Amino acid sequence: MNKHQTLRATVAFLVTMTLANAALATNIFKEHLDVDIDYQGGLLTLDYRTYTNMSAGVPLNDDDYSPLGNPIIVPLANSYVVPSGSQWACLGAAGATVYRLKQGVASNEAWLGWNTQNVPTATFLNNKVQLEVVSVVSAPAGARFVLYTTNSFGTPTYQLNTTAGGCNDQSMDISVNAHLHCWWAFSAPGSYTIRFRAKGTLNGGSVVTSGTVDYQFSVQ
Amino acid sequence: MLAVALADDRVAAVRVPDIALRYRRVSDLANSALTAQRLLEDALTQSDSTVAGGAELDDLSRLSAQLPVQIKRIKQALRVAGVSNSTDPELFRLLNTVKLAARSLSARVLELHGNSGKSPLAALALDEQQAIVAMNGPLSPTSSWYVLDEGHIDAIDVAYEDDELGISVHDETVDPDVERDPATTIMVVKGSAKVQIPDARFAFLGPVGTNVWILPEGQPEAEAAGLLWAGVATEEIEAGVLLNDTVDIRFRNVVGPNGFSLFESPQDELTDPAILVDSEDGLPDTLTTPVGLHRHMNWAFESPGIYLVRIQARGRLAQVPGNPWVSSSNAVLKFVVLP
Repeated sequence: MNKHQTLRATVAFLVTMTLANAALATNIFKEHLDVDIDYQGGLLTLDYRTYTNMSAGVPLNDDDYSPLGNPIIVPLANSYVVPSGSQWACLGAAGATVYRLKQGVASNEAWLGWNTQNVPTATFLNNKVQLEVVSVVSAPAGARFVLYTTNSFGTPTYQLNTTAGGCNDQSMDISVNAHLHCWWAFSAPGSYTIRFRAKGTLNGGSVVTSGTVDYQFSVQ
Repeated sequence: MLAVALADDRVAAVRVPDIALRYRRVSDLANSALTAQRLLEDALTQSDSTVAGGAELDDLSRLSAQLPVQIKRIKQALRVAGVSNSTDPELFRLLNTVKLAARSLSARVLELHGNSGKSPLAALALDEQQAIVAMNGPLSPTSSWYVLDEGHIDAIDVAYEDDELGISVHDETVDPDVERDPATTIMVVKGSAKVQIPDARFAFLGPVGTNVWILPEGQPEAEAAGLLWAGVATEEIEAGVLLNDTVDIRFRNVVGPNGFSLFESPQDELTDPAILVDSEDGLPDTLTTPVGLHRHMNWAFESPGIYLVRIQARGRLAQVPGNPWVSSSNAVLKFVVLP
């Protein structure tokens, strides 16, 4: 990296931080929004989709809303004690506390789903695209992120998991033209920046990816 | 069909609360029950010869679905008025007759569904795929069924357009998506929806270990089993139109071979599920839903067969003085649960 590149990177970093700090003060989502994958004009994009604009600064029905500087608050009050049983091992040790955004309808807090309704059918292999965790950019020491769903009777299925070892899962299949909700679990209070990427294999066999996008979460 | 429509009105009239408040009005109640009984018998007689299906069948279904609730209301009214079996055994005998007639009508409606070669009940005996093809055929010159059996739908989509609330089935299994008329849309619950009741938390669905058919809340489960993934949407109601930005979806009656419920998936195997609607603990049940929302839940059916679920949406206008109620017409959702 030469001096110019270093300077540019520093400026970009500062701009990002400024935006992030400014947003922290204003945008506390208390509404429905989705991690949004779109495929238009040969481009796979990854961002947020908003529905209502209940919170200050959030645009109405925006399916290209940037996660940059828009951290999602996970309330400390949403603490949950990991049940015992082998099916829960990948969420954490029995009795450990995690903090979650809810799968079921949530009000007065972020209700975060994912959405591929703007990814057409009959385009990608098996009508699936993938959401990948590229890296955990920052997180409290030793903290983990787990995305999972529970079935009709409450049994979990893990979708993404940054826990080291056998539970680790950095990629999930998502059906195209779908919109659903899940549990977003974090193992400790504090700020998380998780770098995601959308990916899809076209029916012809070639692979398309979005750029990497950093999503911020704050358990507070 | 005139007789059926009239019976509907007369039975509805029994609801007037004043009737119940004073014993001297009980004779009116008796007359209404008598009228209801006579018109029910008319309806049953008529249904033997003239009911072919479609709208007429809907009318009968509606009536038969409504009667048990009306009977319950009459009984409540009598309780309030202090009329008991001993003070007026004749009235109670009459009510019982109406109740039995209502049951016959309900059975007749199901039978009529079964008598049409293209009807959902007849389809139960066929291979599932053949059944779906069969059901897509025309039922009568003026209507044809549209059958949905897999993929994403909003079984209830409430919209506010042209100053009216309306209910449709939002079919997202096709691209572009389509809003379908619930009157002619059949939602199939395939045999792969059958699961066993795991523990006592789900006792509202039946005894532990017995079968229940569930369209699941979760998309991955629905997809894995090749089922409909059915939700409820209020995205076509703009913020600010209805008071508190909520709309009530009222589940008024269910006609079916067994119980029907809506519940939310619990967060683990220890937590109780939130029961949103249960046809077996008294209807109507109301699902108060924020506008601009789209949500999913579990749709549970306790036996195979046909379920007719009568719903209505209503809310109060936010911007009109006095916040008057605005209601949709009734919609009858039709589910066919395959064994």
